[in-house]
Formats: sequence, C-alpha cells, structure tokens
Amino acid sequence: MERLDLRKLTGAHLKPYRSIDDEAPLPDEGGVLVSLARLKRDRAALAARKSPYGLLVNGDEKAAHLAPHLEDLAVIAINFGKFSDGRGFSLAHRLREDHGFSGEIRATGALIADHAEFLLRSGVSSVELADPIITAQFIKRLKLYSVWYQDAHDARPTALELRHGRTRKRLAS
Amino acid sequence: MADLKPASSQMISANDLWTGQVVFLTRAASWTTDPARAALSESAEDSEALLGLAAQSNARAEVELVHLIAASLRDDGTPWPSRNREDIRALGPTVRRDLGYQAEVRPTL
Amino acid sequence: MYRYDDYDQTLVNQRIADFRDAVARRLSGHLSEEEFKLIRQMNGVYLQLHAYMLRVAIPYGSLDSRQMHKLAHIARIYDKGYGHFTTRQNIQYNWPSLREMPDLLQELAAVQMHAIQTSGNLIRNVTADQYAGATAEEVDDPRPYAELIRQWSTLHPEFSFLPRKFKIAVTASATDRTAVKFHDIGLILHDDPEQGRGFEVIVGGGMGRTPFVGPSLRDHLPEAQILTYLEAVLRTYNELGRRDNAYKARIKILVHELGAEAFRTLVEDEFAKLLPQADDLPQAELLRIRERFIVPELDALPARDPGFDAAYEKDEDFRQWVKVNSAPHKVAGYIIANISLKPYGGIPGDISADQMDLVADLAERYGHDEIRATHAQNLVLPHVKLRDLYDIWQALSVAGLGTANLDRASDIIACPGLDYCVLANARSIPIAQEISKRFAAKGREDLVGELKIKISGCINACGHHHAGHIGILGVDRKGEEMYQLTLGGSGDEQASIGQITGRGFDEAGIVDAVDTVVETYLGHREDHETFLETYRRLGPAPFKEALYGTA
Ligand code: SF4
Repeated sequence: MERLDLRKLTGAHLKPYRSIDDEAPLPDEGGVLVSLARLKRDRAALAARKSPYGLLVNGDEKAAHLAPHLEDLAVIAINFGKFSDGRGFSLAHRLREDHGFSGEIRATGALIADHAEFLLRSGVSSVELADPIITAQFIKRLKLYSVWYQDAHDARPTALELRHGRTRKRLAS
Repeated sequence: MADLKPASSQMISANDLWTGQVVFLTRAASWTTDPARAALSESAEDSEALLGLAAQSNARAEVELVHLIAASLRDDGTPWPSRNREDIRALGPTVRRDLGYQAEVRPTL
Repeated sequence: MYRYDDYDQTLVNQRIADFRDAVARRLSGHLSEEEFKLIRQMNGVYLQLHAYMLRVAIPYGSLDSRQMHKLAHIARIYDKGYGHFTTRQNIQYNWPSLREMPDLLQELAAVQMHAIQTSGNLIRNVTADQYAGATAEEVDDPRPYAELIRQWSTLHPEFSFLPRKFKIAVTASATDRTAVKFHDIGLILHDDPEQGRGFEVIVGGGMGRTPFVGPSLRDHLPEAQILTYLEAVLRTYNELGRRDNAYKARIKILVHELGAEAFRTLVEDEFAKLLPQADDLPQAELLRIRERFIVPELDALPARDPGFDAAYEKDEDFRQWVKVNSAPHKVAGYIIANISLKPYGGIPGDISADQMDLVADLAERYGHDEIRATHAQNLVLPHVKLRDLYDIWQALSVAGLGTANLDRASDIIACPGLDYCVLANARSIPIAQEISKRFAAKGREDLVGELKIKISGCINACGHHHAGHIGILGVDRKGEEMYQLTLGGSGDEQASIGQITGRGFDEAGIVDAVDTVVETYLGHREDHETFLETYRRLGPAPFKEALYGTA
C-alpha cells in the first residue's frame, strides 16, 4: 500500500496504520485502526498502548457518532466502498466543519485519481492507494488544477477570493 | 436492455473504444462493423467462449459495452441480428439511414 | 451573455487536460470501463447505440453568434453535419469519436464553452427562462443567479458523486417556461414587498419512473443566502439519498419517503448551522457576474413600425408566423422571435450546420448577438427589432427554419429514443414525425391552438411525456415497440402529471390515437378553451371512450 499526503504530495512522513479486526488481539507495537464498536469497547486498552490509534469508518458513517471520540484519535480513515459513492466527502467535511477535527483524515478503498482534488478540498488530508502508478496519477492530477470556485478545506485561495481580494470567513475562523 | 444468457444462435457485439462504432466479433477473434461477417454461435458453450474472447479484448481496452445479441441466418446464409434494437445498431438511426457510418459500410442496405 | 474571466477559462482548459489524461489512462488500461464511464460522463461524453455522443452545455440556454458558428463548425468537422438540441437547453452531437474528443473540447473552450457536468450523478447544467432579459414579465434577469450557481456547482468537491443526477432551474417570470416544478431544485425569483428579493425554493420535483410536482420548501429565501441553502439541500441529499437502487436515487424519492416536512426540517437545521459562518462573498460575486454580462444596448424605437405593419398586412404566412412564434419584448419596437426546430415531418431539435450558421448570422446582424435554446428544443432570437422581423423570417423560411408552430401540435418534444439512445425501449422520433405530418394540413393546427405533445422513448422521461398535454411513452413489449398515452400533464406554473389512458398502441395506432384525442377535444371544447382546459374540465372519460369505446 502506498500513502500520499494530498498537500505535500509525498507519503514519506505518513505513519502506517494496521487495520485490526474487532475480535483480533491488539498488537503491542505500531499504529492501529479499529472500528467504532471496538473503540468504544477497548478504549482503555487502546489508550494504554504507546502507539497512536485511529478509527476506520465507512463513508456512510454519521459524523455525530464519532464526535465524542475525536480528541483521542490520531487519524480517521474513511473507507470509500465504491468509487461512485460520494458520502465520504460529506463525512470528511462534517468532521472538519461541524466537529473541528484537526487530525489526519485518510481516505482508503475504491479511490481513483479523479477523486484527488475533491478529497483534498473536502477535508481529507491523505490517501492510501493500491499501487505507485495510481499514486503518480494522483500527484499529476493534484498539480493540474489551479482554479477552484468553492469555499473548501484547503488554504489555497478560491477564484472568488482572488477576484474580490478577500479571504473567506470559514478559513479565518 | 436485459442482458441475454449465453445460448445458441447469438453474436457478440460491442462498441470500439476509440471510435465508438458498433462492432461484432468474428471467428478470428477480431471485430467487424459488418454483422454478416460475425461469428454466429452454435451453442451456449460457444457463446460463452466467444464472450471470453470479447472480455479479453475489453480488458485490453479495445472495446466497451460487450454484450450478447440474438441473431439468425438470413436467406443468403449470412448471420444478422434478430432484434429491432440490434438491427438499428447495425444499420444506423432509422430516421437518418443516410448519415450513419453504417451507410458507408453498407451503402446498399 | 456572461463573459469568462481568466479563472473561468483556466478551469475549463485544465478540465480538458484532465479529460485528455483520463482518456489516456483508459487506453492504457489504468481505468476500468466502469471507472472511465463515470469520468467521461462527468465530461459530457456518453456511449450511445451507434457511437459516442457529446452533450455540450449551453448554460441557461444563452449563446452568441461566435459560439453558434463554433457549434456549426464542430458539426461539420467532428460530426455528420448536424446537432440536436435537447430538452435541457443543451446541444448534443451523435457521432464524434473518442479519439478526437479532447480536441473537440478544446475548440469549444476557445469560445468559452464546455461539456462539463452535462451527464453523470452530479449537479447538471443549470437551466433558465429562454426569455430572460427580454420579457417584461420578469422580476429581473435570472441568468446571473444561474451563472453564480453554475460556478458554485462546477467541480464541487463534496457534491460530484451524488446518488443520482441533479437538475436546477431558475426562473423569474410569472409564466413558467422552464418546467421549474419538475426539477430537483426549482428557483423562482420574486420581489417581496416586505422581505425583499428572494426565491421560492421547490425541491424534489421530477419526471422519470415516479413523476412528482415538487413541493415548495421555502416561500422566501433571501437572495444572499442562495448558495448556503443549496449547500444544505445538497449535503442532506448526498448523505441520505438512496444509493441501492438507481430508480429510487433521485432527491424526489428522498423527499417523498421522508415527507416534505421532515425533509424541510433536516435542511433547515443544516442551513441554520451554516448560516452564521456563511460569507457575503456571493453577493459581491453576483454584482461582478452582472457586470460581466453583456446587456444589449437597445435603441429607443417607436412602438410600431410601418414596414412591419405593411408586411404583416400583405404576407399571410408572415402574419401567421408572427402570431404564433413571437412574444412581446419589454422594450418598445422590439420583439422576441422563436425559431422552430420542428419543421413538419422533421426530427425535433435537429439542426444542420448550415442552419446554425444562418441563425448565428441573423443574431449578429439583427439580434444583438444573442441566441437562446429552449427546453422545448427550439431557438430564440430574444432581441430583434420589429422593423427587421420580415427580413429575419424570410431568411429563416428559405432555410427551413420558418415553421409557424410554437406550442402547437407539431411543436413536439421528442427524446432521441431507440434511434440513438442506449437506454431506449422504443423509437420516439418517427412517432413525432408522423404526428407532425398528420397535423401539417394547414388550418387544422391553427384550429387546435396550443397543444403540447411530448414523447419519451423510455421511462427516464427525457421527452417530458409526463408534462405533455398529450404524453407518449415508448415501452418494449416482447421486442415490439409499443406506446402508452397520457393526457392532462403540464409543465407550466400550474404543473400537473399526465394520466395514462389505458392500454398502449403500436406505432401506427398511437398516431391515430392522438388524432382521436384531438378530435374529441374539438368536439367538446367550449368557446376558446385550450386542450388542457377542456381536459381539466371534463376529465379523462370522454377521451377514454373515444379511444377504447364503452367497455
Ligand atoms: S427518455 Fe429514455 S430513450 Fe429517451 S433519451 Fe431519455 S433515456 Fe433515452
């Protein structure tokens, strides 16, 4: 698996996380991803480990269900079940906007390069990809665009801001 | 369009990836725009085997929309699609038979 | 006409580069057929029965002569010399190859056009009243709002992978020419004496398998809050719209299943959360967009023109065309001229490259360089002088574009159907042609007056049959093309859904059936009742009896 930071366009600094089944024992070492059920159940055990942990959720998960746990999480991995299913974009948006989550949001699953800009701008910070060719396609695509109309979760100015010489409220807050 | 199950007396059709043109699979595992030159399956297994060839072509990114169509032999001994929809695909829009590339391929029809 | 600035142009160019890359990835096998399908659709490229089809966006139906000439050029070079205007104010080409598609798109970009989001499960090209900026009826020109929405919805990061397609229409007139209540979101601009300028917001209308006249979610939404409200609706839909069944995935089903009240609560909650942090930038942007619209400078003219009056007096055909195909302009001495793309027996919406060039020339010479496409698959010259109208009509007539049949029986909306469309069950175009020929006998059509016949080749209802006074739906019965008849639909401000009359008809039978229905109307109408008025007064009974006899 390849990892890519959507802003830095490299994955070298990104930590690997192992996804742990609900019934499997927690490894002693290394970052792990668990389900929401497991997190609720094994919270103490997860906290007692020295390594960071995060949640693995599907795109249709409700952000409000994750809200009580956000402080403890190093990462939230959103799994895109089908490349045409856009619910993960709204989930990422809500985690950032409604719940102020500032940790890493990593997209996994059925991703194609055509998602790249949309992921970044919805609040996703990194992706996990199947092979280096797709990673290269992501990078190519992220370098391609320089104009965005909508207010979104990255620091690059939108066409509206550039036209009017202003910064938007949402980012400033 | 309901997908057909493999059976005898079928052809494989698809659209050429580059041009979009309607094509039919031949015995030689190549594609032709002329259904009269297409392979007419003799059995369900035969259709299955032809589909397999077409799937390989699809995987090589040569064609899209591979599907089975019902066909039969005409009086002149050449095969032709039997359903209305596939007849239209083979000949071009019924309202502009003069215009489709099909008109160039088969000007006499 | 909105003129692009550098940002708009850059984005379109980058999107083409992106599409070029996607084509290369498909060819090298890095995109599967399924993945590529999604991407090409987002860029307006379909694979139809015979070939690829490209649907070019004409935002809110507005274009200028340069753009129309380019559309003609594309028809000649990349297609077979013609194009087809659709029921969403777009134009589609039936024969381009994928190989040439990126170059074709680059040519479009040179005249500030694109095919972005004319297909796929995302916010489609925004439509608007074709008389915008020309009719005295409207509160204001709705197109700057439509442009604001176009930009907001273009490559939207969160709403580009929706459960299903999403169509928005904007109108600002009491007379609705956009079928606003049949859209996923319909916006009706008004000036409220107390609350000021705003929109009535209709959500969850639609055609297709389950047609709905959309409920009104908001009587008054302040204009400054429009994008915030759209965001709230779209987020609610993106999260909750059904993704398990394509036929139940449109927002109308979500609104219907939850109930309009419950849906409204969800949207209003989300909206209330967004509103405090919402920006006032869209308001400044709206001003900027208005400035970038080229508003024609119309001359001060007398209300009447002697030359026009003389031609009107002398030439009966011209008089007929003016009566049927023109509409009053807000400025004295001007008129709105509708160009019918429905010659008797012709293919609804089809137009040749030469005809496109002619329309472009006329717009440039006489029409302040403005052309509109309508959802009824016709064209409009929105700003022409009365004194030029006779010249315009003569030129149109010579080119086969002078048919006087706007909103008449032969002004039929028909989708491409089984002649082109991969989803079709039956052909639409030949039915339209036969009905049109039947009505062509002069006088008959005039006698019948306003009558909207709409034909779809499958339940997707691109031909708006549910909203037809007479609607025809093609179905497949064991490999035979059959046609269902519906009566009493309407796509105007008093929207209604047509009711099925009974068992269907074959190709010849449906033309006779339409004839029978019209004869029945003529037999029963009182005074100057239109077909729809008579139908609404009498209900289906006399029509059913005429069609099927007393059972
Ligand atoms: S209504 Fe059906 S047949 Fe007609 S264009 Fe739409 S999808 Fe195709």
